[in-house]
Amino acid sequence: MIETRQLTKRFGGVTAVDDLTFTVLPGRVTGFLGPNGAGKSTTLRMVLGLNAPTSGTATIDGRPFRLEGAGLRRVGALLDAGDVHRGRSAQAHLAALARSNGIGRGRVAEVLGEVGLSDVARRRVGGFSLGMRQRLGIAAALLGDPPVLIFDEPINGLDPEGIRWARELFRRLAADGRTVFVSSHLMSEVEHTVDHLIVIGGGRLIADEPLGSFAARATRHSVKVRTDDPRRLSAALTEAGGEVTTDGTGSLSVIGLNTSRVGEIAFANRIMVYEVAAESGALEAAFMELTAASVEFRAGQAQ
Amino acid sequence: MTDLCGAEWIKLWSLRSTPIGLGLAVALALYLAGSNSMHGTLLRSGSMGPIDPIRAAFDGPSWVLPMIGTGMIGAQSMVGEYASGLIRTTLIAVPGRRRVVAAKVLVIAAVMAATALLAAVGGLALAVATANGDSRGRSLTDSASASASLHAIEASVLLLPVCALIGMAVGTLLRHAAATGFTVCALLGFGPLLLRPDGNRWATDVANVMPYYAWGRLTSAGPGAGSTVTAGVAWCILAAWAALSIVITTVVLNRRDV
Repeated sequence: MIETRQLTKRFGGVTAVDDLTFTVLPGRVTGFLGPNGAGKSTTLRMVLGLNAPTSGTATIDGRPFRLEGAGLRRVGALLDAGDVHRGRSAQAHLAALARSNGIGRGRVAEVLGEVGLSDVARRRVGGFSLGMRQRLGIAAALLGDPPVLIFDEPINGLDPEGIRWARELFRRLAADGRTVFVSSHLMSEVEHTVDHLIVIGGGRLIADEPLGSFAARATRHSVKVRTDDPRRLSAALTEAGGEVTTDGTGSLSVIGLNTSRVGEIAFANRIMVYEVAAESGALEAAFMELTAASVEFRAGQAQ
Repeated sequence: MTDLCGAEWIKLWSLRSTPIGLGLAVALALYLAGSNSMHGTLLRSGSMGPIDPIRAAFDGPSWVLPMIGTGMIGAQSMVGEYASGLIRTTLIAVPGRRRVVAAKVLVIAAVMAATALLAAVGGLALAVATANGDSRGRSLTDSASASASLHAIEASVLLLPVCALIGMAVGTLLRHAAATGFTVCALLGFGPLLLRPDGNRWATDVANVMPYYAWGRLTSAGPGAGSTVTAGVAWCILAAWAALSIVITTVVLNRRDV
């Protein structure tokens, strides 16, 4: 479990993270979203004890991470795929990390196999592509088989196969009951992976909620609803203020109402509904709307 | 702690620059010891020709390059972490920063001490072997010479770790490879060449606390041979450089956001 309480970080006059309070629970994949410069990496660095907070606290399983003697068995983290020495082989890099935490050599071979780098283990990291370095970073995070995993933009540079592999890995780790915290600046990267979202903008918390309810915040996006009585539902939705279009097969497309509202209207009118779904892109739209608001808010405050 | 030292050991030797750098430092020390012994020192003005093996093996200017080389390897152990971002990976694996510094210090100091031992003993042996005539016989039999040799070896075994630790401290402070390289060269190389204990009071005082001249005082044949500093003080100067470097590295790494 990762917890931050009133976490704040200022660099000179710039407030990178502002009074941030959230909890990341085990057993699910939690996405950490925000536009570039929102303060995601700074927050993660404070959680990992790399940066000292200006005020507030960040703890992992109840304790500040700086107090741990050896870290890999408690937390596995990939902050930046470039955080390796280019002159070392993948094998040597992992061997040194493993040794520092008293983890055996066998585990190094295991994680190299798990991320698919066994064949290039003896090659120097300087010659690796970004995707290969991401895999190496993920391997390092897995070394200690930790209960908490933190990945900062892990999808960058991965090929489609790699992206699918990483998503499956994150889901599997969460299914084991681990805490999995994955940051991104692109909603499309995480929408198929995460169960829960923490969204920040301008260093402040914007949303901390399940993926479904976050998607419902997208007011300007369309909701798809499938029913056995499209004519009656269409009328009810229009009456409630929605713009409804129909494709003639029992599916309606509604703009101006979110998924919850559509469900409520159908229920109130006793109309059978087979499916209510935010149409693809709704998450992205909600993300854009909310983070755009945070940027405007910041600009307004400065005046 | 054993595990941490093991990790630093792997880090040190998994870079190609380490064996190459240390190998060159030893090779250079051996070559110069032999060459000095046969032909007189290359860099010193004054009488040329065969000289005493101790003087040949512990000739000051001949040791400047090994000093700078080990300083650079020490610096690289920190700059390499900062410049690549590896420092973050390291500190996530081991959040206790003092322990990371302690392991680095132990491993670097031990490796440099071993390197210095190899260079000093090897160089002296080579200098003795290549020396001609009476100076050869004298250094093998004379007990004063034997004791002087021992002191010179001890001083050298302390000198190179000190240089590496100074490099580590500079690297931690500056983090930037070029700036660190320049500063290490300035402290260990140019400094002693520009400031000599040559009578000017101020210059002499500064020169006396430089590792180069403190070591020279202890080799009793080297550059600080005529120094006013006692051997005890010279030992303390070297130890103080080591202690100061370790403190700087620890405090700076402990305080700074990475």
